[in-house]
Amino acid sequence: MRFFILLLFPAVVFGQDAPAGSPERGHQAFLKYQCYSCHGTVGQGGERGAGPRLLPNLFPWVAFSMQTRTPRQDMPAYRKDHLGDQDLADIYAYLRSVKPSPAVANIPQLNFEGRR
Amino acid sequence: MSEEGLDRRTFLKTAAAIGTTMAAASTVSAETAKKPSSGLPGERIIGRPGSDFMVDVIKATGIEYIASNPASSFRSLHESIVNYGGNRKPEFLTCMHEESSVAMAHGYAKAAGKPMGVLAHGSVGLQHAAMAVYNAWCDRVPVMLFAGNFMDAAHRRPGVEWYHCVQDPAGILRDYIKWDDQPASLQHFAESVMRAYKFATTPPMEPVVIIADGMLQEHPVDGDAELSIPKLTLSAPPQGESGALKEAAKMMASAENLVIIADRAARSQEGVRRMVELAEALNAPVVDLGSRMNFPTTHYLCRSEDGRALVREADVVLMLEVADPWGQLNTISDPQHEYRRIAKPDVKLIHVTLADNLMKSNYQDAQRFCPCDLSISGDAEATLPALTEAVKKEIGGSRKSALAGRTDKLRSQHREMKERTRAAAANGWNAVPVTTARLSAELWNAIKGDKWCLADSRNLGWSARLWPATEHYNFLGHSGAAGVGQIAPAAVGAALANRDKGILTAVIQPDGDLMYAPGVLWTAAHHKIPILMLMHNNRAYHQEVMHLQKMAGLHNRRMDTARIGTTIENPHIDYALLARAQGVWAEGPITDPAAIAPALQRAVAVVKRGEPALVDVVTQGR
Ligand code: HEC
Ligand SMILES: Cc1ncc(C[n+]2csc(CCOP(=O)(O)OP(=O)(O)O)c2C)c(N)n1
Repeated sequence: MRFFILLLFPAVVFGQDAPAGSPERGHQAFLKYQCYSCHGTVGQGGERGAGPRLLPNLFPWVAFSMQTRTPRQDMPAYRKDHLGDQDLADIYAYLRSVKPSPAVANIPQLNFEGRR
Repeated sequence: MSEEGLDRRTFLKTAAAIGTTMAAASTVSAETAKKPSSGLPGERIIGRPGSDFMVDVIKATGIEYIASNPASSFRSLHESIVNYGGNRKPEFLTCMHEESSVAMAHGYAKAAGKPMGVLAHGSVGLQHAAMAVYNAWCDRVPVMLFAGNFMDAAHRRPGVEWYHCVQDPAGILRDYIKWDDQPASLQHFAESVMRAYKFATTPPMEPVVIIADGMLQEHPVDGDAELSIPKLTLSAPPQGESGALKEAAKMMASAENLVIIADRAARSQEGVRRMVELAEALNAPVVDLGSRMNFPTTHYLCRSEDGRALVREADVVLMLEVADPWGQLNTISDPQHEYRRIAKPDVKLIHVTLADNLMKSNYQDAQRFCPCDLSISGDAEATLPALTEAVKKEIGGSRKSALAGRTDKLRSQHREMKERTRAAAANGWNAVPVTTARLSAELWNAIKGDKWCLADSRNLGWSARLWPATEHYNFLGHSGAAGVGQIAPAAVGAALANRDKGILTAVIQPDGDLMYAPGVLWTAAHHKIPILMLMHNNRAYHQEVMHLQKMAGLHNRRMDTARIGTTIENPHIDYALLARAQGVWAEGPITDPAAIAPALQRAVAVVKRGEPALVDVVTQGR
């Protein structure tokens, strides 16, 4: 519930900036703590219900950290004992640093129209 | 020699005494072959063993291939297939594991539309075969499984043969086969094979087992003239009862939000066509769960990815041979095991299924009991024409135009779904390791110019979501019971059936699955079975990595250990080397996504030459 209230009041969410973090260390932490096994190495999302995409439109920091600490549904919880605050901030910094993917229109392999 | 009851010394003495008669004995007519000789064992000839008649019977069913790992309990039948039968229809396929034999037959049956034979040791062979039989059972696929066994203990050779004999060979499989028999005579064999074939191919289709007794195989045929092979006439599949169909039509015609969910509905292209006809008559969205190719992914009523949302809004749901009806309307969360309802509490459910005709207790493939408002026992494809007819009768002029008025919205919803999927596939497009979406898209681009078949369309769901598929042969569904190790051999079996039809078969091959029995690569090379195997090499039993993470989260323990016991690395397996070692053309491991397309192009050329090819790509987990 707390989670949804935060989402409903963007002022609360966006008012708080993410703590400083290192994208490089965050990349390592993203791999070490294996966020990537469900969300993919660049947060692209996983198949067959593994985990949703994290990018584009990364969750605002508060929602992001709340989801990681106390997930709203099936995701395993990463509590402070096993994922420090700095690691989480680094992971967030890493995700923010990921280059956007090309647009569908620029990927010929994804043009399925009219093909048999 | 002592095993044959004649030691060397006695043999030499006897040979000297009857030396002159030897030459004459070397040409034995079929007539004398039947008479037991009183002379040397070497003189004895069985010109017409029982196994020859067994081959006649198998030929009469039209079975074209027998997948088998050789074994003494059916050595006579093996020899009869090869020499007496000329190794044609059936042709003996050398397999390196009984699980591979059965899984090949599983994939073959789905592509060919008819069963393949399998021949296995009655004891250890069936033990190896068991999981593959269970997969075929859960996938409702016919397999003609023959097994050798020496029932008469007085004739068994001491030692190994005893270990390999069993009182009730099919017992180990009986919970997940439709029928079995252990014939005591050749006539009995002929009748039981025909019965088994008929049972196996009558929906719900399932594997069956026939034991070919060793002595029955090896003894001469006694009284050939009295033996007869019964005519094989397959049963027309059962159709739903007409009154019930009328009621179903009424419910659907008056529904505000009808959803059609199909799972193992279509058995053929005609089934796909009938599905379209029904959906269009009702202008209702179709969710294809994909155990078979039921509905064209290009049709505006195809909404397979919107299943949950559609079910949430539905007032009536029509299910067509859905394996897990409860799971479409409800769910249990993981790892908390919390119940969640998806559908409205008062949704009306109609189910056309033959599930109620399968009565086995031990294995739990029945899935959770799902209350139903109208349950119609019948084969979905056979029932579709009458159901559609009833629907058309129910839908009068005004209703018809009201339904037609929904088309524009349905078209745009379909388009949006496709656009969403493509956008999701673009995400991480250039990532290393390669994304699963890119893997799928690259494969499509390599085979789109041909008639194609994707042998497993569930394991990597991108293909079913992205690829324009209109033909029943395009997607073959999945293993049935998720018994891992099925994908590779089933794909090779499917490729064999498709080879004869001029359809290019591809498979997106998980690494863990391949390593259960990688010898199937050799079988593909040996028998020149053209298949394009694209490795989805995530270097893990990735499903299990995620399970471990969920448990660690639940137990509030560290997460970075989740790869212990769940990954396939250190050392990495070189799949191209593994393939080449068995005579399969291969490239890889590929890590650069841009290198996939040219490698696939080269691989397709190999496959078009009639040979198997493997391209190893290192991929994301999911
Ligand atoms: C075992 C799979 C799994 C792992 C590992 C995992 N997640 Fe998730 N994640 C999920 C699932 C499933 C959801 C969907 C919401 C839910 O079920 O809680 C999710 C949702 C999210 C979301 C919200 C995105 C959305 O659109 O719902 C964020 C942010 C997130 N995860 C971050 C992380 C981070 C950071 C890590 C590593 C520290 C991580 N996840 C590890 C499965 C996983
Ligand atoms: C015979 C059998 N053993 C174990 C399992 C448990 N299991 C489910 S998924 C899986 C991993 C399969 O690995 P792979 O084929 O590489 O697919 P991935 O999960 O990596 O995509 C395992 C071992 C199973 N389903 N069947």
